[in-house]
Order: sequence, then structure tokens, then C-alpha cells
Amino acid sequence: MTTTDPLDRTLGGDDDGRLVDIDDFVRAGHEDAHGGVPRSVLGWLTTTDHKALGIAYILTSMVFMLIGGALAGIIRAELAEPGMQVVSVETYNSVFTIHGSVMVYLFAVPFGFGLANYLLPLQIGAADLAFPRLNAFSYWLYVIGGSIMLLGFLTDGGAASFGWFAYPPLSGIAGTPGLGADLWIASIILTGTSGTLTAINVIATVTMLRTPGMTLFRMPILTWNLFITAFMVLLAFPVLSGALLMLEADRQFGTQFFVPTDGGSPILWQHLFWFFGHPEVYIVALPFFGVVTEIFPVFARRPVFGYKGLVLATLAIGALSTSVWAHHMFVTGEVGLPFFALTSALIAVPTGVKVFNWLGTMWGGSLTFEAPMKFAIGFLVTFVAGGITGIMLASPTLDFHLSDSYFVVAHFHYVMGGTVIFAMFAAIYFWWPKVTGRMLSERLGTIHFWLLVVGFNVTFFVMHLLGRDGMPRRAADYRPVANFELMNRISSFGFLILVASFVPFFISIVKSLRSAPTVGADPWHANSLEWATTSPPLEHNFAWLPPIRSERPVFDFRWINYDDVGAAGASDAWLARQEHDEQWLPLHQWSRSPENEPTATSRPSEPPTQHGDGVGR
Amino acid sequence: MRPATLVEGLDAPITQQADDIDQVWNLFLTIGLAVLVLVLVLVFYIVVRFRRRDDRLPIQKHYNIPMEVTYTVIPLIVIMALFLVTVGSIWAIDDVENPPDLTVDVTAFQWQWQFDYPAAGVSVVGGGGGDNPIPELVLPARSTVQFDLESLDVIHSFWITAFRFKRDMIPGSPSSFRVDITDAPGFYPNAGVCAEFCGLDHARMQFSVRVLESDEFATWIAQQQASAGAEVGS
Repeated sequence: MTTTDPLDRTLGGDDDGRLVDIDDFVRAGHEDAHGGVPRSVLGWLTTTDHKALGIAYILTSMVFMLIGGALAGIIRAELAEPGMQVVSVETYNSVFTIHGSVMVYLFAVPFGFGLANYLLPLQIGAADLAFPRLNAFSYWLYVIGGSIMLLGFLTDGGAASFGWFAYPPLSGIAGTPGLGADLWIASIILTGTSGTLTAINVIATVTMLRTPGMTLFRMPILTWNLFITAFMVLLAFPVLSGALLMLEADRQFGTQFFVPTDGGSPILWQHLFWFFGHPEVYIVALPFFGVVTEIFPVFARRPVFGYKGLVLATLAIGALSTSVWAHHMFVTGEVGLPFFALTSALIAVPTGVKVFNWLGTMWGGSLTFEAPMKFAIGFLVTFVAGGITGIMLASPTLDFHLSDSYFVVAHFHYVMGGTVIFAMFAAIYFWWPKVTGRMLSERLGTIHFWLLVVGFNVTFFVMHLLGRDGMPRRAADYRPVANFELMNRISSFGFLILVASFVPFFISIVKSLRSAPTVGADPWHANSLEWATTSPPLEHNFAWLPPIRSERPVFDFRWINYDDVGAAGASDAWLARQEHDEQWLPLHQWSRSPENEPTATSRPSEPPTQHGDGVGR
Repeated sequence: MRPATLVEGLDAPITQQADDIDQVWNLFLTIGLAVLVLVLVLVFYIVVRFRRRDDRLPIQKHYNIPMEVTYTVIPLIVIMALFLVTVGSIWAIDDVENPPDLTVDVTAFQWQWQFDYPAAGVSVVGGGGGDNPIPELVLPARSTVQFDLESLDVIHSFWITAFRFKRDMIPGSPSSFRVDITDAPGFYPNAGVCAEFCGLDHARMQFSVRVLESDEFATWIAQQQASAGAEVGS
């Protein structure tokens, strides 16, 4: 069990005394070490602190992940053998619907919002999000909305049972009469509204609250990705909310938007839904792309390779993602096949650029494989595997066979399931010391990682073969054909390994939380601003900030006594500070009185020279 | 009889269009696996070659414009090539040139299939589990067949795995497609599937496909007409 800095060794060669230790500058010994996290129930209910809400978002979304995972367990138990053994067909149909809905709407997207809540202000040197109370409102909308979806299981007729994309007429009042369907619609309108408000908050924060020196092209890639994701949310979520209101009006108020017998158009729903649905998958993915882009440079001891290329690739993905939706509708025979085939295939180019940027970041590095790095590499391989089947599905010729089969199930469990889960754990292992002041066990992390790799691939790889062989998705049962039986049994067995992979993770968390918080500001020797404050961070995040002259101010500051390592200008900026004390403080503290400034002991005794002898030493 | 495909359990293609689709599939699969292997080899090489060996800081160069352009342009070329292959094959999927030798009206409703042969006045219906037998779609070999599709209630999807093709059946929007059945007489018990989730017994909404020589097909039609006539007469 490691509770100390595993990277106590430095990379300064035999002269590591010249390296600056960020802990010497972060105000040490502060009393307020709980990081803005409330210590009472009432505190949690009323908090507007971005860190508390970020933790709440992440914990809530992980509870939903466990619920969605339990539902997946029912699915895999039922499919382990042909015939119906575990649940009725009605229940099975509700179970796969709520499994998909929970995982997409209540886990994957809100987890990204949790990252945005906790990390975004820290990464740009701000004290909080731009609208803290709106942020708390978003969170509670999400909790209430999510709970409403699950309430469907308690109603007559059970929870919604029409799949997570709710195609009418099946999702109409005649196809699905129960109240569970109305609760499902209400739930997604509420969580969608929550997401829209969070997106506004993120855009306002990035636009208005960056600390001096934090130009757009010095923002960490995670911040960039959250920023671009927010615009995609603004574009996509209101369309879904509108379409859901139309669907609910069809169900309860006698309109006929999607009712074919009265002149409505079922295909209109598909256009509206997928105009949301395809940006949605990138809304899910982009924050996690950002996560691994933060992690690769730290454990490779290299700057991110092709920073501007990455930003451009993300922008390209965001732009293209609004014009690919009809690839979900190739088999309707009612969409322009070549156009959507082209836009869908083209998205592979910017995503491919990202993969090469990640490989380029590691290339020539000095790689170590702590748990965050393991999971980030696991993410990369899983994502490439899912991307390849994505290119196949972007071809209408192949999609005619593969669409709505288990091949599609395999594909999106690789690109949305696997990459999210690997990058999520990478994020948890990476930022856990920042959030809690404690480390997670490397040994348990290694066991966790390999169980997840094996469990994930055993569960989902065979689904490619199942789909190609003709097993349709959303089937409660299948014909007792030899290869269907074998592959379903393999997949269900893999799920058990997946479940087992969570055991070392939870053990590690419990052990870590029971140890003393001993971690300093920057246990990984990382790059971005969240590592320039205490672990956990102060109530308003920063009492001090390093000069920002690149996308990795903490790295620049650590190497400020060396020429040609960090960003040019970092040491000049540092010297200039001697003349202008107020620039030592974050933006929101500029008007504070002198006694709140860093104490003399935390200042360097002398400015660094060109060859630097001892900032802070 | 044709040799089985490599993937056990999937019926061999029984239309010209399916043959074409399988060729495109093989191309995509080959290139896809090559890319996956390339990335895996790169990751493995990087992990071994660049693992930390000492305390020296690695070179901090963070861009390489020619390299970045290369790894943007090469995937773009590969993607465009695959796209052109796709576009070239899209239009061949639906045979609109040959007049159909046979038209089959396919009607889907929760959770059964009905196959009508309007020229012969023959109708086959079934599926949905329970006591209903799985219906058989009977087709003549070496013929061009047009399917006219219609759904009566919710969205279904008419998927014949041996065609490598499916088409959604959206209520209120009848559609049709045409294929050229090859010389592939045989029984394909697992070929017919409803692919779009359509409610309770979606999983039971299946059918089998039987391809007969043309003289056998004529005999089968005559038998169906006779038995239908007998039912009406009795």
C-alpha cells in the first residue's frame, strides 16, 4: 500500500537540487485542508463549491454505473443459455432499455460533467465555475431526473421497454402504454436540461475566468475538450429535449408528430434523435480523450505531441459530428447514403490524428507505467479496436448486414463502453491523490487493470462474431445454434471477470481512505495548474500561482533553473514578479489585503539566475 | 453447393449482391486488422523501447510538422479509398436493371411475417413463437426477386443474413428492393431475422429461407395453391 509519492526520484540527473519543488510555494500547513468539501449532510445539500459538486457528480454517476452494470448482469445471465431462464421477456426488454439509458444518459455524460466541475476551474486557475448556484441546480436536476427513470421499475407495466433511442411508433402510447415510458421521457428531459445548463456554465467559465497568462492555446487539452464538448451539448441536447416533448405530446396530448396512421412521420423522430445521438457519442468521448491527453505526457515526461493538431482534431470532430447522424439510418432506405458515408468515414481522420498524437507523446519518452498510464494505454488500444469497426459501419454496403446486430453492440461497447471505462479509471487513479491527498495502491491497480483488460475483451469481442453470424441486438432469446450458444456463454463468463475487476478497485479505495493524507501538491510531477495547489485544494483553489507561459506551467516552474527545458519566458516572468507582488495571487485575490498573501517563508529567497541556483532551495 | 464461409454459423451468400458485399467486407476486414496490428506493434514497441531507464529528462520537442501532416494525409487517403469502394458498391446492392422474375410482398406485424406471392395468389404466414411454426420464405434459384415491404404497426426490419442485407420496414412508408438469387439451392434455417426491436416477442420474429430449383419452385407454388384451394373449399 503506497501512501507516499511513488515518484520521489526526480529527473534532474545527479543535480536534482536545482529542480524546484512546488510544495515549497504552495501554502503549507493551512488549516482548511478539506478542500471545500462539506462535512455535514446539510452542507452537501446546499454546497455550490465546484469541487464538492464535482465529487458529487462523479460519485452519483458511478452509482448509476453500478446500477447499469447490475442490469447488464441480468442481460448476460439471461443470454448465457438459449430460452428464458432468469427473467420474463417483458422484464428483459425493460432491463436492456434502462441499462442503455442509464449508461449513456446517467453515467457516461455526467461523469464527464463531474470532471468538468472538479478540474476545469483548477486547470485554468479559477476559484470556481462562473455560475456556482446554477451548477448546484444542474446537479440536483440530474439526480432527480435520473431517479425518475429508475422509478419506472415500480410502475405497472415496468420501466420503459423500447430501447434507449425510443423509436416511435413502438414508443407511442399504443406501442408502450405504461407510465414507465412517460417517466423515462421526463427523466431524459430533466437530465438533458441539466447538461445544457452545465454546458453554458463551462463555456462562461472558460471564456471569462482564465487566470492572467492562461491564453486559449495554453489551456490543457482536457479543458479544450470540455470547452468544445460544451458547444456540442448546446447544439445537441435541446434538440433531444424538443423531440422528447413532441413524443410526450403524442403520447398524452393527442398530437401526431410521429404517428404514421395520422400523417405523422416515424422517420422524423429518427432524424431528430440521431441529430442529438451522434454528437452525443462524441460528447461522451471527448472529455475522456482529454483525460488521457493529460496523462500520457506526465508518465512519458514529454510535452503533449502536436498540441495544436490535437485542438484542431477535436474541433474537426465537433464539426463533423453534426453531419453524420444518418449513418444510424442507412437501412431505412430513406437517407443519402454517399454523403453520410463520407462524413462518417472522415471522422476517422481527426480521431486517427489523436491516436498518433498520443503515440507521438510517448515516442522518445521516459515511460513509467503507474496505474493511470496503464489505463490510458488500455484506453488507446480499446479505442482503436472500436474505431476500426466504426469505419466498417460507416460503409452502407457493410452496414446493411451489420446494422442492428451484435456487431453494433460490440462496436459501441468498445468505443463508448471500453474507452469510457478505461479512461474513467485512468482519471480516478490520476486525480485521486489531488482530490483526497492520498495515493491508491499500485499493486491493486495492476491487478485491477489486467482483470479489466481480460474481462472486457472476453465479454465484448465475441459479440463481433455473434453479430456477423446473424444475432440481432435486443433479443431476449436466440435460436439454439451451436455457435450462438458458445459465444454467448463466453461473453457471460467474461462479464464475471469484469465484475471481479471491480474488487481490487474497491479494496484499494477503502484502504486509501483509511490511510493518512500525506500527498503533496504534485505527486506525479505533472504539468497543469491543478498540481500547483494543495491536495486536496484550498477552498478557493489557489493561494499562489506559478507564471503561465505554456500549457504546462507546473513543469516550466519545476525546471525554471534550467535553460531550454521549460517554456521560454517562464523565468523572465518569475523575475518580473519580484517587482509586482500582486501578480503572485490568483485573479480573485487581487484585491485582498496583504496579510492574505503568501508568507515570506514560501517565497524564494532569491530570484533564479540564468543558470539558476536555487529557486526555493 | 458452395463452400461455407470462414465464419462458422453464417450462411453462405445466396445473392450476387451478397457476394459483392462479402468482397467489400473482406477488404475492410483486412485493412482494419492491418491497422489494429500496426497500432498494437507500435504500442508494444514504444512500451518496451521507451520505458524509463535512467533519470535523464527526455527530449522535449513537442511537434514535428512533416510527421503530423503525414499521419493526417495517409489515413485520409486510406479512408477516401475505402469510401470510393463503398460508393462503387452501394448502387450494386439494389438491382434496378433486371426486371423481377418474381415479386414477393413481405408484410410484418407484431410479431409475425407474411409472405405473399401475388402473381400466384399464394400466402405464407407465421412466426412469433408459441405454437406458430417458423415461416419459410421460398425462393427460386437463379432469378431476380423483388421484395415489396410493408409494416402494419411498428418498425420492423427485414434481415436475411444470407443476403448480407436488411431493410427497415417503417409503417406508412412501403419500400422495395431487388436481388439476384444465385445458383444456391438449399435450406437456410437461421437466415431470416427481424432486426429492429419491435416489442415483446421481437426475438421470436424469425423465418427460414429455402431456395429451390425453378422446377421445384413451380411444384411448390402449385402445392400451395392446391392446399389453399382445399382450405377454401372445405
